[in-house]
Amino acid sequence: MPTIEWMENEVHKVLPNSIVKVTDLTGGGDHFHLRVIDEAFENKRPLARQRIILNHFKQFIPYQVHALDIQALTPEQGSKTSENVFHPHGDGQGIHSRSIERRKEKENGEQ
Amino acid sequence: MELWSKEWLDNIVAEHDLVLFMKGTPEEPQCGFSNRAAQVLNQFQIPFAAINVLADHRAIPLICEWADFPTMPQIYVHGELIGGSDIVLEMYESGELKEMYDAGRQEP
Repeated sequence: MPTIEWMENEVHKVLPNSIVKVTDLTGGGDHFHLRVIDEAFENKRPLARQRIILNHFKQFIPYQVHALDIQALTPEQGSKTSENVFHPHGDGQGIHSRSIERRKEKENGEQ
Repeated sequence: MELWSKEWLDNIVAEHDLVLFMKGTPEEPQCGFSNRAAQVLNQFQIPFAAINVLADHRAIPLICEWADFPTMPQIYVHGELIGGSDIVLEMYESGELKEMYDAGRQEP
């Protein structure tokens, strides 16, 4: 069963200098959220960024790894964007969390 | 045309401006990620074609091979794969989804 350390290790095989944070979404070792920060993502669209990671992980999907949610950020984005972990089996509020966060930031900024 | 063949899949994404391959249906999603993608497209307020990949056990491996993308859901805008539920949410919130949708519509 993949562990958080194993997942981190696998990401570092393709992006050795990246900053990686892995969240096990269900505790079952098969649904993961990855937050990956790397300069390699500069000037790339979201799918192109994910493909760098997915092309490596597809050998493990769907058997060892069932689901992979990826936040692929440039160092600049990484310093600005808070982590947004979506729990697929949670209460269904994940869809709104980022816009709520942004609204809060805006409100705080205006105070 | 054989169901889930390359030709069939090419045809689906060519015929519909917005396509969602998902586990279950928008009304009864069978996976949280598919639910998230369907909710984003519902908020986008443009009609989309939703294909339930659990309807046939052959669907997921054939679609993933065709798309060269290993997970479900998958979202297509004007025939182009944009990614899964994380990307569609990101592009919806940034306005890129609308830009991409509007840009494609203006083509003859």
